[in-house]
Amino acid sequence: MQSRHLPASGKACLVFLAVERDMAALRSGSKPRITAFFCPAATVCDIICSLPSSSLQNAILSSRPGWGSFFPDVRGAMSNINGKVYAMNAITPMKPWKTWIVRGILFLLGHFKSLRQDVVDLSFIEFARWVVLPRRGFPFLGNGQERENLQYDYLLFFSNFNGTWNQYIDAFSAVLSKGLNLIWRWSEKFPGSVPVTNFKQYIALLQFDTDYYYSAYPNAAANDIESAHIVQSSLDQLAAMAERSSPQQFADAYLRFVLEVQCHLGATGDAPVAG
Amino acid sequence: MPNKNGSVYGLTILSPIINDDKATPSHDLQIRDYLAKLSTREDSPFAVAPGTHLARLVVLDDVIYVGMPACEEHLKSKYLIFESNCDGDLDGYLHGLADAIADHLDAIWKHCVGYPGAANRQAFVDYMKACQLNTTFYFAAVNDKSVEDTLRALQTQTAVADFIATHQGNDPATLQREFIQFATELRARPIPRPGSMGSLRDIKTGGHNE
Repeated sequence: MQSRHLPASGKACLVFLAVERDMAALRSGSKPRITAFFCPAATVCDIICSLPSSSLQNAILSSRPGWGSFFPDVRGAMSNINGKVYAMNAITPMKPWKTWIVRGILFLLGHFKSLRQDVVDLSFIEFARWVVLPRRGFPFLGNGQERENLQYDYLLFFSNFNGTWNQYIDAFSAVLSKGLNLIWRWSEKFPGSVPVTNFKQYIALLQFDTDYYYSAYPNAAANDIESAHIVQSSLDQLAAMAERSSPQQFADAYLRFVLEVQCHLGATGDAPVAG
Repeated sequence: MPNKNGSVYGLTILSPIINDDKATPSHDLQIRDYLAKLSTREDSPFAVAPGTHLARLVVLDDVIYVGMPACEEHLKSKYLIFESNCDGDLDGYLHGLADAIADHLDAIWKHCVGYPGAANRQAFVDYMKACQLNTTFYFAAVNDKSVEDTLRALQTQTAVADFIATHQGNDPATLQREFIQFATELRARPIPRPGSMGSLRDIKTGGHNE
């Protein structure tokens, strides 16, 4: 369990769980047992799923915003990481009139390559997106669904990056501070991306965990993928000329090929342990 | 709207989860329970269906209160977020999902409001589009390669490294002959299955130094 997310209230929740099980046992006339403190993580999720009412489950798991991330083990087997990729989700509230400024900035970012060069240079982001979600833009499908009644628009951020959370936020703060400030300064209580300590606290507050994360090539980092395509392209060119050249011509071309791809070779595998 | 970057499509879907006090366990927990048991390797639904680079499913419990002087507000529904980075156009991708993994889609989305089931293809596609959010800014580091292109390239990268290491100092004629054979064999080699190049799922919570 993540110690950063386990304040005293987390322990209180588990106590509450144990008491509930006692009450249920007493009602059935059997001997009460207190087990929640000693259960492995997966079992704790099962205990919650077996509680007699969804309102009780909801009281435990989601009566407060962000509670899910306080109890990663209780919530079940969510995983922000798959191989070398980390899935980050964050949601920030914005006053509706500010939303248009963010839209404008993101429009410029999308249409002028030079403005996003720093993101490209970071080279450990595989995919990322910002989504402006207006307060009246939450999907409403009827069928008993209550329509949302919100004061804020929301900015959703999804990123697929390589490395650890700490490395990512540090690099973001160090390299992209101006860009991040431009985008996030319109969100409520954004402290600025520098100094990084406050920025990290803000992101940790706004982040919510991933329940299921899939990658077609989990052991490859963004640089591995880019390098692999360079090798593939160079190999295809060499293969195309291999059969119609003399041995000496091929040997010269092969040497050029090796020089070209030597910085892009390697094998994919488990991510190194940060430390 | 920039849902596309090159040939890659950034799909964001927000499906309201059924809010039923009588459901036990609640629908959001049933989704989480199902997702927790789902493989992330080559037998993952997203590996079986074509065209997914990376995808995530997330239950959004509520919006987050950042403290005074901001206003505290709450969602009336929980939402299932489906974020996918996929090849091609949206209709083709959604049809591909419905064709290949209808059972998984139904098992997950049956807990969402108004889900019609994947058997009715058009209703399924219409439902997903009704829940789609337009991406405001979408970044893809490699935006012109398909999943198969990337898997093949990663396989090639490793094979080329091995070939170079084992053919140092060969005379030109031998080098050319063996390279031609190597390139032919490599082209004929099956592409690794999506999701197959990872280790077994090791649940990690995403701690700050994991």
